[in-house]
Amino acid sequence: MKELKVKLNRFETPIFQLDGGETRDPIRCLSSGLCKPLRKVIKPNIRVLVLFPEQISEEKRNALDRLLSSLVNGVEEVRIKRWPGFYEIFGTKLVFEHKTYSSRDEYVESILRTLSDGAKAYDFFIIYMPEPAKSRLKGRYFKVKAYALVNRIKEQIIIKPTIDKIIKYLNRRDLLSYNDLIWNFALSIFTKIGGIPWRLKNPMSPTDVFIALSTIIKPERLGVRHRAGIAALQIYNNWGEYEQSIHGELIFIREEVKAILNIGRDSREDFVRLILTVTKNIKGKNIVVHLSDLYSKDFHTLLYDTLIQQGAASVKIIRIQTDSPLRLYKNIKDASRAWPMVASYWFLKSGKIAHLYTSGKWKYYVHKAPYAIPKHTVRPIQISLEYPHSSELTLNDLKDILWLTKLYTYMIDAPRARIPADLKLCRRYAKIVASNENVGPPEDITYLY
Amino acid sequence: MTEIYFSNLYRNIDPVPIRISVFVTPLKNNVQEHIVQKRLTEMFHQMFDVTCNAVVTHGKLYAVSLNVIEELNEFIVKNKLKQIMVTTDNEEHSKVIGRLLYRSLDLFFYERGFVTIGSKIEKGKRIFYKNKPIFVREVRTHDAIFRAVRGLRPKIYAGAVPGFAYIFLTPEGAHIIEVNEWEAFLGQQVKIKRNYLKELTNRGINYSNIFKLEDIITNIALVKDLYYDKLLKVPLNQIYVPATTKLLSKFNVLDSLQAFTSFRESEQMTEYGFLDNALNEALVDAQSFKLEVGPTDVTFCRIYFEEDEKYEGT
Repeated sequence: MKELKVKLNRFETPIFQLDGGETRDPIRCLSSGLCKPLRKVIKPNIRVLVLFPEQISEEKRNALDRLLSSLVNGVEEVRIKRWPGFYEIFGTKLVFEHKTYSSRDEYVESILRTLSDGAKAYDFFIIYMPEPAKSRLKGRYFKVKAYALVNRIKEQIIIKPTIDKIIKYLNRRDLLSYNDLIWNFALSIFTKIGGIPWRLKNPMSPTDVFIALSTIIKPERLGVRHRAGIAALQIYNNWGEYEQSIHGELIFIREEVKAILNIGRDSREDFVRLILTVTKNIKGKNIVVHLSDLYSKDFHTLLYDTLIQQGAASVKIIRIQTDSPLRLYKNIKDASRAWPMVASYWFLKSGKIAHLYTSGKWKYYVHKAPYAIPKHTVRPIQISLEYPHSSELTLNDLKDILWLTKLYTYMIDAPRARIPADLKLCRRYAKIVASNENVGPPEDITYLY
Repeated sequence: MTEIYFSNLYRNIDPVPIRISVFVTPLKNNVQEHIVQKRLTEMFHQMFDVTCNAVVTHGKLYAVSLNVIEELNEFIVKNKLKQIMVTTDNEEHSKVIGRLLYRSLDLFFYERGFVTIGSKIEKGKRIFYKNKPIFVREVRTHDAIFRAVRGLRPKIYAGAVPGFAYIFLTPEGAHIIEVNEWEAFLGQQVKIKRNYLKELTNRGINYSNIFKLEDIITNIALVKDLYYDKLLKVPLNQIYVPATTKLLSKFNVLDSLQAFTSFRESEQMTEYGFLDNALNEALVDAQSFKLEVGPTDVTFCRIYFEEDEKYEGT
């Protein structure tokens, strides 16, 4: 039987700039003390109010306490990418106070009241919500997120699966996984309170501007194929830094079988207006649009033509799917040792369709992932050039996507962060605004973390 | 050092370039493609036969045998019928090859005792599985049967690369709830079956698709549309309970079902371990298989990936 072999290529992961050095692995650099965060928080002490329900099991309360204690005091017994404590890494102290909220059905109201009352007294809120998932649109999780965004309250929500994970890790003495969780949690808090842990050493090139586009279709139906929905756009510069957001409610036409989306005739002008509002300064620039939904050719043409008419030098519309069908396995017995390297890629069709590993093994730890993660198979993402057909999906396009993925700071190399930050945060923004129409564009992108 | 990876990807090795013999004829004017497609699907499910393999696209009917052409006589222009060889050299024929291969793969799995369930990840796609413990885990309670199913989701790329068709067989899982005691699901999210939703549309009733089960009166479910804040009466057999994370968690079955569908129910199980088992259930040899597309046989071979240590393009 003929054997087919194809080559999996690879490029380097990005280099990050920190205070005191540059590195491809910022957590390792911070952990070793060789680097410090690029920008520290000015306040030496951060007052944090920890909110949890009146009725909480002892096990969960202990897990929450342990999490907070580890955040401040570090995780002992872990040597690889050790977490020594918040102050040791970021130079700022977290000072906790605790408060309970009513455990009744509509407990969100109680949380919101506390946030409102404590907004001036506290710099940050950690909220444990016993929700099994991040919830549907207009659900409890998004209610709190939307309130925080509107009222500029900095918070970190912990949902039930996170607490369950902590309990599981501690029961199994899986301290590596626990250590990872604390790193992610700490980085999230640090960026939300105004710190910048790192930035790219070099800008991305030749792209000047990244536009992320995300659509949330609302539940109501307006006839057989017409649906109301939210289109959100976010702009990022070629350092991968957030610049602007906008959203609008539009009428979409959805083909049910393949869920292909188009803009309804009456909403075309509104959609063009949205694009024009956030792309005032794109004259002569190279634009890449990242999106993940499946849109019609008509939709792509409208988006492309609007950007070109606005003066863009070039435009590429690139679709990024987290559900690539490709799976690669190295070792059939132990999935955690089976992953290809980060930044490995393969073009199914040269210049058009590629599969890229944005998570996986890192250069320094060839035989294992840098983080201790449950033994899921790490999956590549699928990247395809949607429009214009005359253009090409290049290695730079893949590299930019990888770099943008690594800019989702607090999940730097965990397999959960597999799509670029622009797309992930734009989708989150769209979900929040679809849950609460009072929410405007975020002044600071970390509200969406 | 070079690393070698197993994959879930197959590519045609015979014939190369891929070419399939088909009969083609235009549809009569005013015949809508979706009507013909519906008839084709019905025929396929009645007969489960390789001769039913046909595709409607670009105003034409493409079929691997004359049986289909005869059956669909009323829709086609018969005097323009011809037999041609299609390859992946243009979009239309690539689409024809892709769909014919998908249907052949359907048959291939059905003949080997597989059944299907809809994919949550990709709309319109299906997961193939068998009623065996490696594919299905059940948790039975007084209120319901909670089922975790895992299997293979095929995806075909035909024409992306001229001359080739690629088939991915991706391991994927899904959850199902079979209700015994509807009372236990009062206040929970429910879905209305698609056919009944169509009926509601035909009756001019607006709905949002976010429903909660309010009450049950004999065989009628009183369902609240949470978006429009109104009550609908729906026959009990026209609703079902979606297996959401929230609901599975509420009934304390989430962890065990999720462990099964994410291939980690035991220390010995990995995703590759499952893929290997599933492929062995479907194929004589996991390295290659042959699909019968009418008179044409197409042989597919598994692809291995080589990863080199050196970097490129940076």
